[in-house]
Amino acid sequence: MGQTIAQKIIASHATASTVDPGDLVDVTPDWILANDLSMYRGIERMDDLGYDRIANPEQAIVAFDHHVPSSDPTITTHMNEMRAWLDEQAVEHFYDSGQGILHNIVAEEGYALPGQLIIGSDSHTTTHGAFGMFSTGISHTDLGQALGTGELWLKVPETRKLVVTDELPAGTSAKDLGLAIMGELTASEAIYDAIEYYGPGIDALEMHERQTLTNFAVELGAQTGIIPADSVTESYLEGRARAPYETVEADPDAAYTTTHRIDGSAIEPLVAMPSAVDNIGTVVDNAGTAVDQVFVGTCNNARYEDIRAFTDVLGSDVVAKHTDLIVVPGSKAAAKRMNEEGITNRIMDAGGVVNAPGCGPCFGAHGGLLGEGDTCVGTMNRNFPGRMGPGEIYISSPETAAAAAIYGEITDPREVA
Amino acid sequence: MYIEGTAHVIGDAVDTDQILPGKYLHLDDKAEFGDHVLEGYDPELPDRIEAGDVIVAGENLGLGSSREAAPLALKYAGVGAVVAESFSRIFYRNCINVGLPLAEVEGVSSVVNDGDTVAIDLSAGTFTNLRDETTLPSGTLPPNLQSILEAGGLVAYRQQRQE
Ligand code: SF4
Repeated sequence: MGQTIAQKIIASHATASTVDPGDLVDVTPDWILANDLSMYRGIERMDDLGYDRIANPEQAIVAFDHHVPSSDPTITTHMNEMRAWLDEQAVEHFYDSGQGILHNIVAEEGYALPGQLIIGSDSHTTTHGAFGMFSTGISHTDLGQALGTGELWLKVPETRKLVVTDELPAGTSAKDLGLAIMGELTASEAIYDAIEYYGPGIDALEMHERQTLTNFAVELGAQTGIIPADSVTESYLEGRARAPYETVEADPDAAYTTTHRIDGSAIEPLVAMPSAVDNIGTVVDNAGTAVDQVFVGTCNNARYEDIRAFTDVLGSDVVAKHTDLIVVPGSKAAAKRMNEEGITNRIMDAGGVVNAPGCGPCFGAHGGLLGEGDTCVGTMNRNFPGRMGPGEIYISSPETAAAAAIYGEITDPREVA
Repeated sequence: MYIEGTAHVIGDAVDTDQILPGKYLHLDDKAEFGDHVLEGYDPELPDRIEAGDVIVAGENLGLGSSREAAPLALKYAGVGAVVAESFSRIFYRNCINVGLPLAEVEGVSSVVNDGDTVAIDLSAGTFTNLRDETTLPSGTLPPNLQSILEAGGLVAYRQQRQE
């Protein structure tokens, strides 16, 4: 029986010739990722586990992205302790506050390459599957164990195939496709599986759009979501890749448990309604819902192109009177390009706030939390109860977020002239 | 491994934000996580959960953020075990790593009411509601993961092996 991409990549990182779904396998990842939240706990766990040193400091990539800038004196102290520790452990791939969200940095700085295996102490580590690799999230004890030994066990997943049969219509984006997939597979159908994405609707997507889709893989419960590398991947990586790489393809007779088909041409603007990621509705059906805050940010949807898509719809309009607009670029590179092209000024002139690159209010600790009864439309990936404070969250595309900002209510972005 | 305790029934898709809200993640004293366990799901649960109780959940328990603080909150609140129709992947790993016994039991949410006494036999792979003796099969863990759980988590497991 042939092997899927997930099986092949796990096998090549475990020096097994083949692996079968359900096998528990020790792998040596190419990269081990951590952020300021998880690194702090990871250091504690390394200590508890009895490891003094990171086995291979060059395997680690750490970015401070969650508490940026620090919102609490205790957290500032933690960050200072971590800086000293990372120095002492000779971690060179360290990105301090303000460089951006870990996942955006890993892609933009050319770390993420086809054929690799990445584990990261952040659930959205699935994002890097956009580069034709196996990339999955872990937490603190696993981080301590992985850093201390350079290895970790993984369970070989079963693989589902997801085929998007056509290109997306004008006025919709990869986010809408991602939300449509959420509606189709729900948050629990694909638990522990790998998903491989195929079809003309996937081939046509640029790298920033592909990352929006694979970022969502964890919301589908999947261990990883993989978009096979192609010429789009190669041109993104030209002049950016930090090392040579080899793309991995599935065998023609690879065993997929299920094939899902999505008609890309039928995609329309969608939202995930409060308060579940798979509570999907159309923008048309939700039109008129009053919006107190619009948030453009997160590792799902705040790359330069995403924010550009937002301001393209915003045009020269201003933000509705009773609505707050908060934009948090996903990386310093995105923020600088926004500055150079006048996008930052446009957002400020419209009445919006542009904050430092990082996670922003996404995980509910600072930088734009919702009040009781507030409604937010945002480009994030999660709308769980209480995620950003007591208010409610509608997840949308940047285009839909822009239409909501202009009118102060959920509005079809295709109607914005 | 055998665990018996009073059940608290929670719904489907209870995510880690509800198990331990993000604003508590930086607490230095991890024991305090337990004071806020499941606060995002029901603010009264932290008061109602007592040492040795069992959480009985629906589908996809622990989806969302990778925070290990979520199973730690359950552990520090004294929860004896978590039983669910299904678990989210990272949460599942984290339970084993922190030594919080867990069992995946299909159909469990329809046979348990709040306050029932339930029993989980992890070695035999059975779940029983002692109120009416309803018994359901629960999956068993691969032997090496079972050993980590029995030791009380990965840290205790490594310490035992070094001794
Ligand atoms: S942007 Fe949000 S989802 Fe992404 S890593 Fe940061 S907190 Fe997590």
